[in-house]
Amino acid sequence: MSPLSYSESEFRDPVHGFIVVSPWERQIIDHPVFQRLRRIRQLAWTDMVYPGAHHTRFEHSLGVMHVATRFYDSVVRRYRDFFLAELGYNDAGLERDRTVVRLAALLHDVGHSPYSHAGEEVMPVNPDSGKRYKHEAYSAALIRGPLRGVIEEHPLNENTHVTAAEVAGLLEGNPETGRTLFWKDLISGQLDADRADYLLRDSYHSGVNYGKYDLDRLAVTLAVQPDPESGTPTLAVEHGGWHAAEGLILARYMMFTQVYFHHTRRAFDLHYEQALSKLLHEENGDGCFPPPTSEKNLDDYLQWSDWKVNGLLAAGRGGLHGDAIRRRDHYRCAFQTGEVPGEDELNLARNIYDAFKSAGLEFSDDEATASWYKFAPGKDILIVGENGGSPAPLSKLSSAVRGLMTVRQVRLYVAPKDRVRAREIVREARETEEE
Amino acid sequence: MRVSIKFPWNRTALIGQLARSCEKEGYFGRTALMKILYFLQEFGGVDLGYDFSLYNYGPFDSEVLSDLDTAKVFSAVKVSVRHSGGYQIEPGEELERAEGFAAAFLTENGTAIDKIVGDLRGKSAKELELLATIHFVWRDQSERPDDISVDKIIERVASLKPEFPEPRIQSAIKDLLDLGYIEH
Repeated sequence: MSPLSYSESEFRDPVHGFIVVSPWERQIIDHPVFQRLRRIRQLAWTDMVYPGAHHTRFEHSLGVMHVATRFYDSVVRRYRDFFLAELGYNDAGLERDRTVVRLAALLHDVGHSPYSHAGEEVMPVNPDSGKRYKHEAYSAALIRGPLRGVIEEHPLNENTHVTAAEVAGLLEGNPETGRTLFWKDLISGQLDADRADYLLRDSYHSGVNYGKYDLDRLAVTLAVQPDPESGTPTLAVEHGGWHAAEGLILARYMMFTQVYFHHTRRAFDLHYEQALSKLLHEENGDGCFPPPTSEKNLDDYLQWSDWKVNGLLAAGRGGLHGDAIRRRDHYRCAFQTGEVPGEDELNLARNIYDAFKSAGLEFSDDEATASWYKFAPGKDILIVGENGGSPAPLSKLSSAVRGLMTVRQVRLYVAPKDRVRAREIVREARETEEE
Repeated sequence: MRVSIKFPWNRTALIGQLARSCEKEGYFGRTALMKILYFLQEFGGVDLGYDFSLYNYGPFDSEVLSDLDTAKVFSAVKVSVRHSGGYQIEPGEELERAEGFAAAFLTENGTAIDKIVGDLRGKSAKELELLATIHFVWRDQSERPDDISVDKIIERVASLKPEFPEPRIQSAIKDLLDLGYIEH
């Protein structure tokens, strides 16, 4: 391609219509690291419940870039004076940050493991933090590593000199990001483009309506407002858009309870985690993925996609849990608490857990807060005051949001062969509790 | 057991206790809660399990707000919205009960909690945000020991929080050095 030519590309997307990318972005999208996202299912094994949910991280990543740009352009267009006067931007600086935000949004998920978040439990432990690496760490490493050249060396970067480190830094919240860190909320925050896209996309492909909300209204009512406690400039929503923000929160709640935390979907997450650990043991002698700490490790990690896992499962690997997936003979939910369990319900859950263990049942447990999508209501989304009045958190305006609570539901699953015995134990435990 | 089937008393009780300790100094809001919990974990070594990430408003973990929600539901705290739009967090009717369930945790971490609360209560939300940002930057910088200097930290923080003039940042760094939260 001649460096003097400029030809945009368009992707036809079922959620957003046309998604337009520059030749620079197109080259990044064509890179094998990004193309691998075509082989990573967005919703893991949710198709076991909603058969249409086969969409991938590839189109979701394009969607996030598209939405992040809509949000960015809307905020900058209407609050340009603020950015110039208070944060020291000029037009070139705003244009540059737009590029960084687009690339960060596009690449935020390149580090996902096969079947997306379902693989997070077999990430290795970071010795510095004592916690498992998350896919974001792999994304940052891939951006700084194999994607660095295609980010930094395109002719269209001659004027802006955007670096791979900046793009990764925005995703990580790296202090070296400087004032560009203001935009991190667009990628990972209460009003982020990631959530804004996946709610609509997951709803569409699952065939449900729960994830629908007014994205158009939300985009044109995004605002910048001083935080009422600290005065720090914060992304907010204009008063006229608070119902759109409310709709987003309600969509999150409905999608969480009906799709992301669906009891059968979570059963398959449990099976997949065990099967994947076994596959990793067999393939590399370890029960987890290699850490994102070297070029070789990243190369090995990139070999893993849904295709590889599917091939191994189809060959009969993955042990009993792989078998459960192949035959769709999954663990069944034997007991669950309410969505916001109190002390008594949690005690009952523990008693049943102990009883299952004593009875030698084959079982597992799960909790809503263990899900990557865990639902916490965005009660504190800031809404600009009406007619110059004081701002307020969304929960003050919306009785619906005010009534929502963090979902902490607990479930106990048993193998199909133990269902009858489990049912008896649960009944006995409930009767004992009532006495 | 894969997950912890127990009520999160430790965090709930701690949040309520912070509300009680800090309310005497004026109102205790969401920002103060977030930043004090940050210091408790990242400086005080209290095992809270949060994963703080840096934003332009300082270190933040949305799970803190979930825990605040839970603490409110179980009356360990009361949460209201001030006229200015900020939060006011006060001790709740069931705080003592929560503290009872979390007694071992609170005792084990009592020294750290007392020190950090004693050092930080009464500071404004804006101040706490600046202090927490400086600490985060310093900690990040200290992973490159040859590259750490007060000037560099001032430069980094100034670019992250342009609303603060450099002398103010320098003064806040001195505060943290004097308190022992960071060191040269």
